Amino acid sequence: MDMAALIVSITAAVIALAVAYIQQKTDHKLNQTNLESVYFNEIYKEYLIKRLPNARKYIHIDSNGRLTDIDKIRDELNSIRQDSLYYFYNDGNFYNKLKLKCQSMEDYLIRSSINPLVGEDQTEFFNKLQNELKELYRIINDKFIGKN
Amino acid sequence: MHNNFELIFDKMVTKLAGNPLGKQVFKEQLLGKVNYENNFTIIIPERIDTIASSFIQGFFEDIVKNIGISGIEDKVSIISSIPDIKNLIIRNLL
Repeated sequence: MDMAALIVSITAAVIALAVAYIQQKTDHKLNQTNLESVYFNEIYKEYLIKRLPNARKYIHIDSNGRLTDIDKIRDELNSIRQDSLYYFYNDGNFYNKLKLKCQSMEDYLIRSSINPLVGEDQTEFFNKLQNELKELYRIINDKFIGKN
Repeated sequence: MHNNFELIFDKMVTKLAGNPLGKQVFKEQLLGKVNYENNFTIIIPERIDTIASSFIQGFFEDIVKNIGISGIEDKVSIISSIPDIKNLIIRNLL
């Protein structure tokens, strides 16, 4: 009987210790996630909700077919890339994906502004721009929800 | 070794984009010719009105490796019709 009680006590103590250890680990991870979430909001909230959509509004094709007013969105793409440098150290994979997307979008905008866009080219341009922006938002949102 | 470099592009080119293009232009027109001990000047043709960050990073990659960003701030002059070109370049090196 005494032996059984001893075994039960020891087992209970071990379980209690294990639970405490797991709880500590979970709390630490939760704190880290909360902190990351604070940083993330700090960096990206304005861009996703205001700055990128506002800059996008300026882009238009003039009566000669020339793509104009791409400077605002270019500035925002470069700015978002530079503001993401925290992730250069913290999550290089995410940073590289984001950097690649921002710079490929910038290159696409510049190349599209070289020659006039006529007819179907215009539709194609706006469709591609939409898809590129969607992809940029997806990269950022996936990081936020922990998919990246 | 002269240290003024006027970049040469096709006459129709007014915009520069792409990391590989930046690297190629540096390799063809500056590599082995620039003296990093002294100040030097890069002259971008006046007709070039737009430079993408990707081009900047490709073109300046070797220069950054050799003299760093502060070296570019101290030793490199850039002449271009683009306003505030040097600040634009420094900001986009990362």
